[in-house]
Amino acid sequence: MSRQISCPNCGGDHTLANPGISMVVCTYCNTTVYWGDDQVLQTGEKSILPESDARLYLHATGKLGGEGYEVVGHVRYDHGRGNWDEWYLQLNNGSVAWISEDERKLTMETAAQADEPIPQLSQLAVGTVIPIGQIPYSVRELARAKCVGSEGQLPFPIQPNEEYAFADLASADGQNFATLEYDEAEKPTVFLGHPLDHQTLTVDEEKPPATAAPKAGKHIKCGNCNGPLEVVGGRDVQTQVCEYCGAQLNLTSAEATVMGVNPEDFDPQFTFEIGQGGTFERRPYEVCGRMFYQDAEGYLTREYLLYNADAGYLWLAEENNHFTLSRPTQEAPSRDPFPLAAKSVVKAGSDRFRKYESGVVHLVYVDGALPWIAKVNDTFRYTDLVAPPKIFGMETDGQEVEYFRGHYMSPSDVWEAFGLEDKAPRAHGVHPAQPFVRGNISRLLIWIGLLFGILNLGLLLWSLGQTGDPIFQETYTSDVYLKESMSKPFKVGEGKVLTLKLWAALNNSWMAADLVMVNANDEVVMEMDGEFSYYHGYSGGESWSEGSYSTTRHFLAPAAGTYHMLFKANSGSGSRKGPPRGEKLKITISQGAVLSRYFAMAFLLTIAFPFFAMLRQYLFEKRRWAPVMEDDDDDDDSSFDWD
Amino acid sequence: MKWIGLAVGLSLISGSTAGAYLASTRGMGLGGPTEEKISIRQGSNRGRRHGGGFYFLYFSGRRRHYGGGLHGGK
Repeated sequence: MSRQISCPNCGGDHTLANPGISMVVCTYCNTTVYWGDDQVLQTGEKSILPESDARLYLHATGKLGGEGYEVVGHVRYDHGRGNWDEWYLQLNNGSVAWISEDERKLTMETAAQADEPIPQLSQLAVGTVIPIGQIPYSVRELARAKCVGSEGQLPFPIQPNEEYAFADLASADGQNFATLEYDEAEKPTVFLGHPLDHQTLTVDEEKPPATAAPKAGKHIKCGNCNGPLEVVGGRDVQTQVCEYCGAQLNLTSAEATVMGVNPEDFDPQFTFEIGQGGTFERRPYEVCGRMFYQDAEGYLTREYLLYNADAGYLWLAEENNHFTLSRPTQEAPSRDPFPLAAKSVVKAGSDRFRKYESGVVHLVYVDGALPWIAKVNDTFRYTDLVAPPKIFGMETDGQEVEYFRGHYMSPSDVWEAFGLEDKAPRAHGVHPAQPFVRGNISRLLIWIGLLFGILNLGLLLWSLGQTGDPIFQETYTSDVYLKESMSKPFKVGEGKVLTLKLWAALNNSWMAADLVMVNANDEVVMEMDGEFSYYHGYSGGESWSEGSYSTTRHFLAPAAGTYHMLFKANSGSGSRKGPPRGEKLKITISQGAVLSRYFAMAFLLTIAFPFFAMLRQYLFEKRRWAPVMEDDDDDDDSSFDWD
Repeated sequence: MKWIGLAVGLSLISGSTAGAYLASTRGMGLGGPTEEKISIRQGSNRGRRHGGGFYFLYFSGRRRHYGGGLHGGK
C-alpha cells in the first residue's frame, strides 16, 4: 500500500512513489520536505526550477527499454559552465533508474561497486585513465556540481545550493560512462552507465505546453547597459549576449549577471547573421550564436552555433572562407594528441586521423544566445586531427575535455545550405580538412593514361627484342674493305625496317664505313654509313674506356629484291690520317626490326596526364601541411601550463 | 566542356599509342631509298691491272662522308 505524507508547511498531501523516497518537493508550496536523522519530517528551502529545454519532465511516462516508467523526481545541477538534469524514474516492474540529460543527450547510470581502487579527487586530471571493471575510462570533466533545485520525489534529501565534486569519465569509444562523486564519504561513489538514444527511452507525450519552455522568452534588462532584452525561448540558454552593449549575461541563476563585455569598436565581420536559417544534414538550422577566436599566432576563426530543435547544435567554423561543420562526440582519440608532432597518426573510432596542429585560442567576441557559459577572453587548448574531408577536434580548458567530429564544407556548399543566391566567395589557401577534389573525368583519364602508359612501356620492352631477321652477314679483312668492294648478293624481303650493324674488335682505334645497296641494274638504291670507335686505358689508378665495338643504323628498306652491297671502310688510331689498323669488319643487315623510339615517346605522352595530376595533388598536400611543418619545431604546446 | 576534355584526352592517349605502333613497325622517319638512281658504273674504271674487270670509284668519286646521322639505338 502506497505511503502518504502531508507537507508540514502547507498541508498538501503527497503519495510516495516507492518506499525508498527520502525527500519530496511539495507540489503546492515548492518547499523541500525530507526526513531528518530522527525520522521526523523536516522542511527545507523552497525549490523553484526555471523551465528548461529538457525532453523529460516530471510525471512524464513512456518506456525505457520496453519497460513502462514514470518520472517521479528531478534534480538540476550547475557544473560551472552550464546545467544538466537528473531524472528519477519509477519503473512498472518496481525498480528505479536515473537518467541524466544534458543538451538533450541522455545517459543512464547506476551505482556500482568498483573492484579497483578509485583515486582521490586530487589525484585526477583531465585525461587521467582509470580502469573500472576492465574498461579503461578517461577523465573528461572535473568540476563541482551545485544543486540548482529539484522537484517531485527523490531517494535522498538535497537542498538547493548543495555542492559536491565529481569527475565524469568515458571509455574511448564513448559507449561507456562513469561518474565519480566525491562527497563527504571517505570513498567516492561510482556510477556506471551508457548513452541512451531517444528510441530506447520513449516519452508517451511530448512535454505539454504548460511545462515546455515558452517559445517567446521572458524579458530581462541587461545588467551592463540596462537595455531591454528578450531571453531566447524554446531552448536551454545559459549565455545571452546583449545586442546593445555586447555584455555576456549569465542566465543560469535567478538573476542575469554580467560576465564580460565585447570589445568596443570591434567588427568581427561575421558572414552570417543571428537568426539566419539554413539546411544542414537535411534539417533546418538557425544561427543562434557567433564566436570570434584568435590564437597565439594571430590566426582568426569565426564560428557559428547552429540550432535545430530535434537534432541539437552544430558548429560551423569559418577560416579564410573555408568551412567545417562539426558536432560533439563522446568518441575519444586513441592517444593524447597534444604532445604529438604534426602528421602523427591518431585513431578515433574507425577513422585514422593525422594530427594537424595544437594551440591555444581565446574568445575575442561573442554574440547571440549559447547553451553554455561563454565570455570574452575564455581560453582553451585545442588540437585538430584531419583525415580530409573529416576533422576531429579536441578542446579543453583544463577542467573539461570535449571532442568534436566534423567535415569540410566548401564556400559554395555553405552558400547553398543557407540558400544564398549570390556567388560564394573564393577560399584562400588550403584548409587542413579540405579534400583534394578530383572530378570523375579527370580520374578516368588518369586510369586510362596509366593503363596506356603500361601498354606503351610493354610495347617499348617488346620492341627492344624485335631486332629483325638477318638477311646479310659477312666479315671482311682490311685488304677488302680498304678499297671499294662489292659483296655477294642478298635478298631483301617485305619488312619495312632495315638494320645495319657494323662490328670490329677495335683496340684504341676507330672505323668508318660507307655502304650502298645496289640493285640488279647496278644502280644505287640506298646509301648508308657508319662510324664507331673504342678507346681504353689506365690512368690515375683507374681503368677507363669509351666508345663501342659496333654501331647500328636503321633505314627504310627498298623494294623486295636481290641486292649487292658496295662498301668501303677505313680505320685508324688517334687520327683519321693515321695508318689503318687492319681489324676485321663484320657487316650485318637485318630486316623487320621494330623501332623503340616512338613507344618511348608515346609512353611519356600517355603518362603525362597522370603525372601532372599526381604532381598537382602532391603540391596541394604540400600546401596543406606547410604551415604546421614549418613551425612544428618551435610550437611546443605540451609545455602549456594551466595552473 | 568536361566531355570535350575527355574526348581530347582519350584521342591523345589512344592516338599516340596506335601512332607509335604504326610508326615503329613501318620505320617512320628513317632514311630510305634514294630518289635518283645512280649507276655505280659511272665514274668507275675498267681495270687494266685487274684482269680487265671493274674497280669501283663510287665513293672515291662521288661520296665521302664519315660520321653524322643517328647512331646507336632504335
